[in-house]
Amino acid sequence: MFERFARSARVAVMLAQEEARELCDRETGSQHLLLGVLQAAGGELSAVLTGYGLTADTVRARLAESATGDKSFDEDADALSTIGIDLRAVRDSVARTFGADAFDRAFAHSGRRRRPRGRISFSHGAKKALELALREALAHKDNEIRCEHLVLGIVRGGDKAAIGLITEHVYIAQLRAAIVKLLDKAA
Amino acid sequence: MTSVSELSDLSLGPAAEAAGSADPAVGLRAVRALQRLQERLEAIHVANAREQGWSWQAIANALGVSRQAVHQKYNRRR
Repeated sequence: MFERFARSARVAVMLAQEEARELCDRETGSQHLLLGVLQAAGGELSAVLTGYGLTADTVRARLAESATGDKSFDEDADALSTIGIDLRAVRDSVARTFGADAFDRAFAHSGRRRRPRGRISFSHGAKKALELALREALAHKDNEIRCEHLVLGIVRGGDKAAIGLITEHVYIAQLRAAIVKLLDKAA
Repeated sequence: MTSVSELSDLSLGPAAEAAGSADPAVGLRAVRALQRLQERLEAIHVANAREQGWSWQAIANALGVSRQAVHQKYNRRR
């Protein structure tokens, strides 16, 4: 499937998988694809994305936050309270013995292995975004899929994992229009 | 000071009541959260044991698993 991908788009997909692995996620999702594109995009596309505040650093920070953030802790605390376990008390007790961040940093500190290396499969949302990127390339009569098409694919796919990250910075319609303009200009 | 009646209130509060919840969503979510807590506590205590000089074999014995299992899970080369 990747033979129609331009070099930068291939790099974006590879980086997406790398990011998923780094974040210890089970699948490569549309959010990781976005992260890959933000790093692989060059020139004008990069300028457009950065102009909206969409950079790899901000998006990665956001993802890392939601992975280990208070939300999952609070959800787990609620769930455990239903079986009589006070997660906050457990965390406090760990903090007293092993230090303030010992609970949150348990996995980083323990030397526990990360997921095995190798390809992480694409989520449904990511697959859809890739398919739609191909369609965007065809629709614009481009003979290869570039990062611009990947962004359009991600946006059109509508997978909430990526859309949420984008709309923190820019309206979807606005981003789409800016990229279509880039493509039209290049054509 | 905590009285005996207060203690029993704690153990038989809403928590204990929900432990037998018939709603699968509630029960399964609790199980999943418990798994996550278990993984986390295991990581903390394995790291602590290693820092205190415990062998992989000793840790494995304490956890009731094979030495290989512990070693494979935690011995990341850094």
